[in-house]
Amino acid sequence: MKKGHLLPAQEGVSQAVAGFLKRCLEEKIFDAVVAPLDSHAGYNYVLLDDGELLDKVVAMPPVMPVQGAKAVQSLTHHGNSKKIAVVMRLCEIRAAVELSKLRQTDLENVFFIGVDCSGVIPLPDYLERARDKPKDTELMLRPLCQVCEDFSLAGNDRVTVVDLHVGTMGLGDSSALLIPSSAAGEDVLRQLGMDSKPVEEVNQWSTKVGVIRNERRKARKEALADIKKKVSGLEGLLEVFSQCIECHNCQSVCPICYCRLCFADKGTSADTADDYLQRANVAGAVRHLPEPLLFHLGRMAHMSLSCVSCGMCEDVCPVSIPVGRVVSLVSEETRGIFDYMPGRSVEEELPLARFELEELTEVEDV
Amino acid sequence: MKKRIGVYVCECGPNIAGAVDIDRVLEAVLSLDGVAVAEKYGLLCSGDGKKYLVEQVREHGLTHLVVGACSPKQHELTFMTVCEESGLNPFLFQMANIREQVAWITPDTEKATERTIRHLKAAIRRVLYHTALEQKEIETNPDVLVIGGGMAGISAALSLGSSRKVYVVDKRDALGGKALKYEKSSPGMANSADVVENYLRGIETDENIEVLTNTNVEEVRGFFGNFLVKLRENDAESDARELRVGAIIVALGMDPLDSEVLSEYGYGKIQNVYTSLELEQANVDGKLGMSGGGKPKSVGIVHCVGRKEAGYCSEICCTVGMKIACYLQEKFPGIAVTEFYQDLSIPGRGAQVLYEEARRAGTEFIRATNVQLSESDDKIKISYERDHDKTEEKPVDMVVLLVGIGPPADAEKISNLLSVPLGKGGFFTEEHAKISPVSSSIEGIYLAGCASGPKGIPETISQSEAVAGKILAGLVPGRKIETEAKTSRIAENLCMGCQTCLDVCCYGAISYNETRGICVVNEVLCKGCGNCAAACPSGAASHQHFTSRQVYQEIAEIVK
Repeated sequence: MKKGHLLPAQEGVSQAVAGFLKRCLEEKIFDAVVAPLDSHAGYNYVLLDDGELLDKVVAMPPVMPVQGAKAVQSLTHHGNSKKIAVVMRLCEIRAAVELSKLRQTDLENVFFIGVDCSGVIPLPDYLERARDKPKDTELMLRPLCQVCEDFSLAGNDRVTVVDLHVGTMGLGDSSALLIPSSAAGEDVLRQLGMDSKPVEEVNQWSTKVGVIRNERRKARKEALADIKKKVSGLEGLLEVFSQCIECHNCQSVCPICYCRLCFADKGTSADTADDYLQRANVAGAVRHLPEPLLFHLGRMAHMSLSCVSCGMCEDVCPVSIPVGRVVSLVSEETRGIFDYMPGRSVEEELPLARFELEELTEVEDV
Repeated sequence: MKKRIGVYVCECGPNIAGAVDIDRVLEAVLSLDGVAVAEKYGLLCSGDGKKYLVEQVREHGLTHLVVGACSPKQHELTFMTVCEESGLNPFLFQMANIREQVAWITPDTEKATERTIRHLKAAIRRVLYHTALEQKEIETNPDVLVIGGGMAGISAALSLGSSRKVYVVDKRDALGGKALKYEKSSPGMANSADVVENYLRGIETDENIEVLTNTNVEEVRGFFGNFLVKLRENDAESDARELRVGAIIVALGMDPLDSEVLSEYGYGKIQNVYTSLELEQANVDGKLGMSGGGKPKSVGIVHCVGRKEAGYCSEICCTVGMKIACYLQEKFPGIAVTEFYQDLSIPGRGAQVLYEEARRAGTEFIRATNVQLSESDDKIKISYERDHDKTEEKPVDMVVLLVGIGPPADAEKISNLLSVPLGKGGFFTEEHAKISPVSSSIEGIYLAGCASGPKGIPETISQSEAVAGKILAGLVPGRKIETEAKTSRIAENLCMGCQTCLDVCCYGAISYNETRGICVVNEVLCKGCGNCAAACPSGAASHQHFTSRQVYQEIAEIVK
């Protein structure tokens, strides 16, 4: 990598990023910034154009109460956005890109700043520690974070939508890297005269990321194989999803689930009592509320191509169904069919919307 | 109102009666909720059968009709008409295909009877969830826009001019197109320019035909019967002109295949290497000969230039090559003409005659592959492999490249304007290559001539006249047109405006309403294919006659 800038971060990466954002606002490179802020002992995405408040920016919050793509959606859904810089995890940026293909975000004036992701702690565990445990209690990351390969931009050709990336891994505590990843990103560093081309640090960073990625890749393979064993066949699916209490939390926090009213909530397939009785006669029994499995299969069909494996759904499941890992597994296979990578680029069309004359020939004439 | 369903099973001669125990079927369905009557009949599609059904609907005061008979493809319309005659909304009807899907494929009577009962129960269940749909009628404008003033465009215009206003638009400064470049047209060797001029005189004298040359189509909106077209003259200064027409004919013609293939033959570098179109033009202009003056003593005609790259045969080049051989021999007596062909395509009544004529005149035909040209001492050396093994060479004075026919240069632009997709080779796609070769996927937009693929003049004129026939029959001045009743709908409270439906709609029937942030179906354009309903992630788009509930209920019954 020939470009980039080494950012001093003696007071931590968050302060360094805050300083950088402040300069960008002063130089009027952006009109506003969206970034996670530490507020009232929680972390929230906030839209600001105020330098003072930027001191509270937390570049890499330990939890993800809201998937960042939802913040971008709420801001830009109706267009007309001014130039904003958005600081987020890569999975959040990728989800925002998926939503742009579904016209739920308008990314024309959005400048994406990615940050090396140290993973997300499940919210219940985090809150429990804050309440009852010593502050330094070690907590596990979300299961999908433990096996995530796309946590950094170093050596990553699967994400091309980031404009500027903040590299932190393998650099110690006192510096961070600003790596431009688009023409706009290069432009911003040029305007600010940030061009120290730190060769050695970039090497350190890439090496460290490479090491972690290799471990993660192996772990992901094992984790998905494990899940696959669990959910195989109707029996396996029922085993895993029978615990579902149909709260639909997973649907409401999923950044890709963007429908106004979920199909599952419309009652389209609801029957009369008499019909249920007839079905019970045929099937032996009919569960009520009916069809939690249908709901999850529906989500797999609808979400799997765009799933960015952020793990939000799994975080909020009150009965600990590994729903994120299941959808991620299905996603791995469905997008494999179309050679599709969710959030890789804005131009890559959703497989559903792209017409190919020769496609899925293996399922023709069966 | 209490639902009263009438169930009628057609014996279809021995077809169904011989394979299914119909009496048992009737007994099984008669007890179902809502079924008022269940009967069988010999042949429901016969005149008497239809009369019987009309009487039954009236006599029993039926609110829904289910017919178990043949494939809906064969007689759905027949029975929908019966419904109309008897005062029943034709969409409160459902057909069960118990002939093709049961009787013909189930040898065991017991099993066939069971399956028939399932199919009928599914149809009965489904029809309960049908809603009455109304066909709408809309006013139409009978006028026609023809894009392209070559042979295809002008012959279509001439066939239509007697009954309506026709606008012929061409971006060039005169009509006539490529056919004006030939002295004679193969295979019949009729005088091509004469034919074209004859047509052009017809155009000039027809008051109903307005010719707009140096003009481009800029925008097309609307639908069959009501298109709004914006035209602008080539110089951008002029104001746009708006026209209202009911149908559009795409008659853009062709352009020779891409020059990249040509450069492989040394075209542009080696002197006296011409494309067939250039030679034809030189012939019409009376400038046939060598580039430095003088007469050629030997000519090589190379077939299939660009065929392999394009992936299709251009159909007419072989006869064009023979035509050129014939007139070269006529104009330069004693000339040696050699045709280097890979495969000869000489179908039809005239081509064989032309082939024999060319041979009689002394043309040599060599089956050659891997043809290459190079310069050598004032001559052009043609090296080739004969019969796939022997490499041979032949020096000639002049080479004619029979370049394949490619799509018209404007194809992509016009395709985007009209939402008519381009298919293989970059030509406009017909609605169906075999059974609907001059219609496009958009109703009211038709294809004539080379716009949809390589064609000779006779075939082009047949297409133009076919298009004219379609328009004369389908767009009668003063008559309204009926729109499809089984259309899609988008529920605005569910639509998130993701526009996935826009991508999958083949009829350009959906548009995005920016102020409301939702997608809207144009019910006149919608053909009810259901693509949008299948693709809509939010369940906002639905097909009025294939609602989730209808399909669900039908399947639930059949898999019970």
